[in-house]
Amino acid sequence: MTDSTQNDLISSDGLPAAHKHCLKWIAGQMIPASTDLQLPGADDAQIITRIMQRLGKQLSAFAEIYDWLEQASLEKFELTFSEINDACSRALLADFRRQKAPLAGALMVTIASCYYEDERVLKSIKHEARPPFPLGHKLDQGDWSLLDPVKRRPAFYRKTD
Amino acid sequence: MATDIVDVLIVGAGASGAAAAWSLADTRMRIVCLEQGDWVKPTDYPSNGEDWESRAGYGDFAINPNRRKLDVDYPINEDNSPISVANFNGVGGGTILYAGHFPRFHPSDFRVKSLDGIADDWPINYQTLEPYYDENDRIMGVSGLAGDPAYPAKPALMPPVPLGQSGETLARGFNSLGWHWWPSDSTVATQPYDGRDQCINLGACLSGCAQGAKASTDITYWPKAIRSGVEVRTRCRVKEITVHDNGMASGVTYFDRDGREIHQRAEVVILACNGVGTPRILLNSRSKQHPDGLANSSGLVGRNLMFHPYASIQGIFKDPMDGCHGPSNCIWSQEFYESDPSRGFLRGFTYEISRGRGPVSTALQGMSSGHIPWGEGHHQAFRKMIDRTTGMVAICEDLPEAHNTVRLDLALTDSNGIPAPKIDYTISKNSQAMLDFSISKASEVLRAAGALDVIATAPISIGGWHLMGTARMGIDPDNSVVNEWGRSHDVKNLFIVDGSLFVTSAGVNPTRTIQALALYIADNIKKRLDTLFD
Repeated sequence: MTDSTQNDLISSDGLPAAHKHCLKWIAGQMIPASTDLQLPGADDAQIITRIMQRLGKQLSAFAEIYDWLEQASLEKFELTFSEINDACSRALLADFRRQKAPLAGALMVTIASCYYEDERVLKSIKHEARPPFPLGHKLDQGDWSLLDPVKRRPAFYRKTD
Repeated sequence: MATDIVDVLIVGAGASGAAAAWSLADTRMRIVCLEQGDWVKPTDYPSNGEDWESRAGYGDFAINPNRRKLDVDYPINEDNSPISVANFNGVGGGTILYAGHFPRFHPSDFRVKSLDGIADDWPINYQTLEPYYDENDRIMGVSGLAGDPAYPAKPALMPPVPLGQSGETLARGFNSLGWHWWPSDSTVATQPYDGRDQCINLGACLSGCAQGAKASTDITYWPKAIRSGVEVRTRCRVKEITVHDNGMASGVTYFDRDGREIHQRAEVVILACNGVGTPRILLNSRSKQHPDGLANSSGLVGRNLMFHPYASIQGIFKDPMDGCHGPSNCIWSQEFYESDPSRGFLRGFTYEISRGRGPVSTALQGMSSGHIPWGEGHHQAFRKMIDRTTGMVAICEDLPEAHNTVRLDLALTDSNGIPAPKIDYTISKNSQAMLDFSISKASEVLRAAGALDVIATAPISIGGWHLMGTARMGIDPDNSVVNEWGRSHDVKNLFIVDGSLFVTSAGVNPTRTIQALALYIADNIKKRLDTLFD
């Protein structure tokens, strides 16, 4: 395999191109874009970059997910995962979530956390894209007169004397 | 390497070690505290960044050490437990990551055997600890409201945390059913207090308070203790307690930040590592005189581990709630706190209203529970939940059972080669019945408050916040590890001041009682100095 061929197969972030494509596809399946809400999906380029940064050293662990899908695809359809149609891919993804729940859960955490920290997404749900500190937030006192009936209640803790 | 002898050596700089150090400092003895973690800088807390939810839930401020995996953490084998351990290794210990809920025990919590015929009575009672509760409240700074009918009279030093929309909504639910609720006692300062600024509703209490409004012991007890001459050595991990030929403790062996093994001699050793760390050190302190570990003639070191099994019961409402704005503390209910056998279980629980969640944890809660789908419908379902979800946790009293244990895992070790703790724990029938009941009744409250849907989870698998019972106190040396004032029955210059002392767990957060116990034991040490080892 020549260097140029390797460059085709390895993306600039070190993840094999097929793996990156698979990760992007899963992210889009989990949280799709919405035209109505003018929202990107989790497969948006910026969000995918953040997901890969977040995966960091665990990026190679994604290989386990990819290998599982690839193997399942070969067994079930006698085709590679990239060769099967969308309906078949979605069926395999559902199998993966059932059979490899901890792994699917870990991937869900990374994808969802990167998605819901995106400025565009936060703005669409009327959240400010900023750290909580130092500005903090406002919180109403609420109606303390609601406590009046409880104040009238006699002590009910159990006596031990 | 050996060092000069110190008068008092405290292991652990968390909730109890800090209180004990502060109390003992006025003796002018030479006091050293060894802490395996570091000081935490407020600028390091996740709430300083936009990725605060990720870091708090799954990163360097996650509550579980196996998930956090910092070099100051030690691994814990939790394979045989439905509940995983939550802790923090650093100056301040668990108070760095706790919510700040600060309930006291009730008088009945010290008399479980006498009142309900199960477990055991404590060798002390509420009145014993009452002055130490008061003293601890003054140092930690407690917000709340006097007059709670679920408790004997107790002071409130600052106004309660705001009700907010979440508290107000659920208060209406409790009122409609005629059930008790009250503003939670909290260590979140609602006004400037003793050098701390007031809460500005960051909503990130569970990953450390960058504002300094929540009372963690690195900003309450420790500055005072250090000013009084106590020395804190960080990045020092204790391997074992060493003993003289006469059976008395001679000091500890620890690894410093450079991995050097050092022996620190001491006249008195105080363990303050809580319900997992303390038995781990004792069990690892094996010698000819103590082949089963130190202070373990009763065989009870590491036994009777109690968590509080938690249920989470959240409602989805039509109108906006507080979301992630405001302290985690809000109101609580102790309608079902005291025993009523007709409910199908003994003892009881507290509901603590948990306000709301941020976008990341809302999405993850929704996807995990099936309320937010992957793919089509995701955004619509998310929008129904975000800022519209509030509810409560039920903190259920766990009873002591000898088969729930902390032992040593000889195959799994920390970075210094010290055996890791191994947890074996099952949820009892009593606890399960209590969890089920708590979900049923909480659902009633949420529906009465207007919830459109209810999401319930029990137990909270990551909710092993409270680690208790593994070196219990008592009068009988055959049935306890330390006596009624915290001194080991076997080793008369060894004391324990943390949650491992607990005879029973009550149905409330333990930190206020842990600290009151630490102050009580320190006070006993001071009063008995002339006869301390008799």
